[in-house]
Amino acid sequence: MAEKRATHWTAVLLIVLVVAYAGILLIAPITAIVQQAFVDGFQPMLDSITAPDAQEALRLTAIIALATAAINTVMGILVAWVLVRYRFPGRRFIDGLVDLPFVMSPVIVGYVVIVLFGREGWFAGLSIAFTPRAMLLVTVFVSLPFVVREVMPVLRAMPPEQEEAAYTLGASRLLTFRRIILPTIRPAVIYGLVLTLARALGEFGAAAVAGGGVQGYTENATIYIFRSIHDRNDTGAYSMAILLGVISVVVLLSMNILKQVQSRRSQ
Amino acid sequence: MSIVLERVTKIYGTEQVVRDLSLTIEPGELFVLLGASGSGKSTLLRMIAGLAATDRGRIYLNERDVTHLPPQKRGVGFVFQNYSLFQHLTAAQNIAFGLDVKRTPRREKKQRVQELLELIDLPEHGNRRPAQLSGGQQQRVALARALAPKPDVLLLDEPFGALDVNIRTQLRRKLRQIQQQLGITAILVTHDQEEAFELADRIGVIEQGELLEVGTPVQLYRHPKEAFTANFIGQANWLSAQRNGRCVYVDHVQLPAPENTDHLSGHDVDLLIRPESVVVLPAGYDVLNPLGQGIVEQIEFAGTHERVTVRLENGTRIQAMVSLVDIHEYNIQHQSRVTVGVRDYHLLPCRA
Repeated sequence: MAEKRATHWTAVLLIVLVVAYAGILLIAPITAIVQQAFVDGFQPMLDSITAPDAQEALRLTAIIALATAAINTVMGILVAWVLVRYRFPGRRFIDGLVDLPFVMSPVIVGYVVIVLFGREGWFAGLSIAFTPRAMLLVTVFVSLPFVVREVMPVLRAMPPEQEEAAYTLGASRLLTFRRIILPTIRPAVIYGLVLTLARALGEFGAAAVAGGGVQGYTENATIYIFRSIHDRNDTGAYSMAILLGVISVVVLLSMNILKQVQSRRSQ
Repeated sequence: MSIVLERVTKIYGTEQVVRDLSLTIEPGELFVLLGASGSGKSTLLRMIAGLAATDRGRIYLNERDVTHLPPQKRGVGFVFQNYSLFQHLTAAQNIAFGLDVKRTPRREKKQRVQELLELIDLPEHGNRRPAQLSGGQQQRVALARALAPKPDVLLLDEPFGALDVNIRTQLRRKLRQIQQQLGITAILVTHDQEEAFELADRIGVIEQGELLEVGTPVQLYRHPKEAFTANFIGQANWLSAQRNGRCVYVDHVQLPAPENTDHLSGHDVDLLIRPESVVVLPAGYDVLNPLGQGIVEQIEFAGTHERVTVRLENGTRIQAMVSLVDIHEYNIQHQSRVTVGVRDYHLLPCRA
């Protein structure tokens, strides 16, 4: 696509519109949060973020986010592989089902876990409800589609001759996957991984319902913010919000850098 | 390395795409499988490579039964129509892939890759990625990649199909040169008869999964055993005739019977006449083996020749290739009255 220099008045108008839209939607809230947080200076923020309950919430968020990213990267590639490469009864159904987490309210997801694993549920014996494990489960569920949906089109577009060429050159299936397929889908996997991570870091509804939000046990960073707002602990809420926001931005930036490195390498 | 196929069959669903096909390819030979799309030629090639399973029959590479071996264990090099280079690897890394798999020592590998880059006339292009190479260059790299692990046989599936005409011709010569230099047994699949003629030691014509006929290009062009071959390879005039005694009769016209056609004596036959074997001269001239007189119905420019269509007095239409020099010298024009003779012709048993 050719980039055009904005000369026509409609172009100028559109640019102004987009900048204003992005400004109102993205930049204004961020500025507001940052400004509010620094009202009392830096020290109170540091104090609240290093308090035991905040630390515990951060630790839980980090563990769940990393575990989710790991699980859904591996499983996401696997699901994409099976859906693209194999024909079996129910494939279309499962293919459609993969998007369910996109459309289903996280609160419902959390509730379903309680129903299934709660005291009266089918799997009551596993005693998962209201534990960090339940939070991991729902987070894995809500972020399942990202890697799958990024990897599938790349796999589908990959000509089978690439693999066949590797086979005739003596490469086993495993070696072919490692040396030929994985490098091809790597950018898609990274992109999906980042989206998964971002979603897991920010998950609130499903985690709150499934975990119960017990302070120091099943309270993650977002639930901590929610509780702080309730307790009128503004500094706590702001500080945690900024920290989570910064982490998200870092994740976003690192993804863009990775993308650029990848595309430069493949030129 | 010889390639022997013994009654191989491939079935997709209820359709036999390769039927009971037997073929022996001699060591060092470049064999061309010629057929239309959907004839089963590519499937057969993939079966030899192990990329498609063989449902019945046996495949031997150098007397080794490979029928049920996976492609990794067959020792074949395969070149695909769409190049299929590994996009994330450089040309040199692509060529080295098969050597990496075999864990070739570094120095040996480097040397072999450079050797191959020189063989394909791209000594300076080792660090380029496929996206930075032209189609012709990519296909040359693909050829080098297939040759790197020193395969016993080389299989090429329409390797020049995606290339421009000029580059295609160039690459054919290069391929032929490399194949002869290495003395490697090769099978090339194509639908392009010109390509088959230019490259092949022998051609196998394949249609609906069956091998109709095998022979050298000259044999197949001049003395085809099957009407399909005659029509598929080059253009053909067909006339109904009878073979009797020492002669062939086309209506009332009598032509001497070609050699070795005694077995057809007393039968209805089809007479095959190539357009370049037809002589067209103004009416009144004497011609060898006259077929009769007629009117020029159409003259089309065909590069080095003019394609002249003559309607004979009995209504039969004959196509002739007439040189531009003759067209001018004898002033052959639309509606000219001409006499038609045949320089060379071939008999096939009647199809009906």
